[in-house]
Amino acid sequence: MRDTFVIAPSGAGIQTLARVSGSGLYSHESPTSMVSGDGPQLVVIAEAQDVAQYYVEAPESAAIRVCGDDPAFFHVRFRDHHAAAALIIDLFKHLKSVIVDNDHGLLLSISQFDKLTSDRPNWDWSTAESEVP
Amino acid sequence: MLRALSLLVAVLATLAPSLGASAAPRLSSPIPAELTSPSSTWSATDARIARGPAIVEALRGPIASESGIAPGLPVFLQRDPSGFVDSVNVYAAMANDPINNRDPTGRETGGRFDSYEECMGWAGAHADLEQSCRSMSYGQPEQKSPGVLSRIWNRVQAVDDAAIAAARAVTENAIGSAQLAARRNSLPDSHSPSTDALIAKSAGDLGETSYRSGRDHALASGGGVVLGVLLEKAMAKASALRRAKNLLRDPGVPELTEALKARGIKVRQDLEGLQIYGENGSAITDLDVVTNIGIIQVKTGAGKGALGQALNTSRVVDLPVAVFDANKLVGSRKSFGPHVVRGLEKAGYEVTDDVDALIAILRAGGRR
Repeated sequence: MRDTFVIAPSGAGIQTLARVSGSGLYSHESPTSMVSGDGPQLVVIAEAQDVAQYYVEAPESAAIRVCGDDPAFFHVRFRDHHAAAALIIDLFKHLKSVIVDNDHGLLLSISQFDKLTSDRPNWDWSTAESEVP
Repeated sequence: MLRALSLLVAVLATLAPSLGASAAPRLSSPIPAELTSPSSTWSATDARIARGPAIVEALRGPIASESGIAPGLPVFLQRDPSGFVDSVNVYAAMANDPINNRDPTGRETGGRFDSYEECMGWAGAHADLEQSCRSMSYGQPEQKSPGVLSRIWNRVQAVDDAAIAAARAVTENAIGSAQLAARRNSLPDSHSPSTDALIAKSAGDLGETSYRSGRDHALASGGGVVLGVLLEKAMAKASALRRAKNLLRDPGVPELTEALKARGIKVRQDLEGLQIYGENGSAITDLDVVTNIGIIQVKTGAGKGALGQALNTSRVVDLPVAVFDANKLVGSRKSFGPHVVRGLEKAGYEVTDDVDALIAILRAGGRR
């Protein structure tokens, strides 16, 4: 599966975000890991503080500064980038200062991410190295 | 008067249980009411069809895929329809490998391999599997398969009966419903090819809904539900599209698959992206590339997700696991981040972007 990381201000938790967004996520295992869809549409999102270790150098460290101290890290695993984008936007669009890191060099605020994926429905943002198509 | 009162009390006491039962709340069912209503009672013929191979076929779906399993439908692990005939282990009929082997009629035995050479091709350098290949009676009805995935199965054996039973129940009802629908449409009540095709299609369509209902029901039933391994053959629906347009395949996986095949490594492409679910349906990991010498987790970009995926895979798969940096192979200028590489190495995984080195790592046992 492909990976994307979402960094949000401290205190953001999946259960709360899911409840607020009514995203249809479900979990019967853990309060920190949830699932949406299945088969090709499967998207797994998990709180992942362990990836904080990868955000100590530029450009990641600079990008996530807007999230404040002790930000919350989320690991999103997916096959279909459309399904993943829809879920990320659904969960995080209500928060300010959220960064989406596709692990290929693209670091976008949630509002930029929302706009770009809406404007370019055929754009595979998940492996893009920049926002220039 | 006292006698009459005693009689009244006795009569009320007799009625009480039934009154109580009617007042008790009914347990919710995942099966739509129309499928369980008296009007959908099946005939003996219906029941025989629905409880035999059709159950499996419905899960497989109407269209044969390369693997023989349904496009669009995950496959539940199948227990032996014959119950305990082969063994007290209801998975014994599938050579203890219900992932790779199927026994829809309950009368078949045997594994997947036709010859020692084929078996060894999969066993690779593993001494224990070589022994299994030697002891196998090829072409005999008792042959047992030591398929690669049986080793995965060994680690993820705990399959919750409720998950299977619930899914099977709703699927059986879906098939019954399809048959009833066929009759309502005045189609001949026989098993002509056209009727069977309609039934299969309807059952297949409903089967997908049934799968979801069954899973949700199993999960909702709680009690430490374990779904175990579901072959995410829903991916098969996308696989034709993926092959045609190369969509939805993880970056680097197609390129690595071809490179491995060119070097004589056997790749189970039908298992590409196999999703492994753990307790309560949590998605533990997926297997990017399954080969006869081990599992390869493939990443491009900085590889931040590699460590978690590799660790989870090693947790549930009793095979060598290696991590491959596919950036170079796909022509990207990026590579795994230094922190990512350090984290992987600290956990015992050698990271490489070279296919020959990758093969050597796996042959040496993968993770140190």
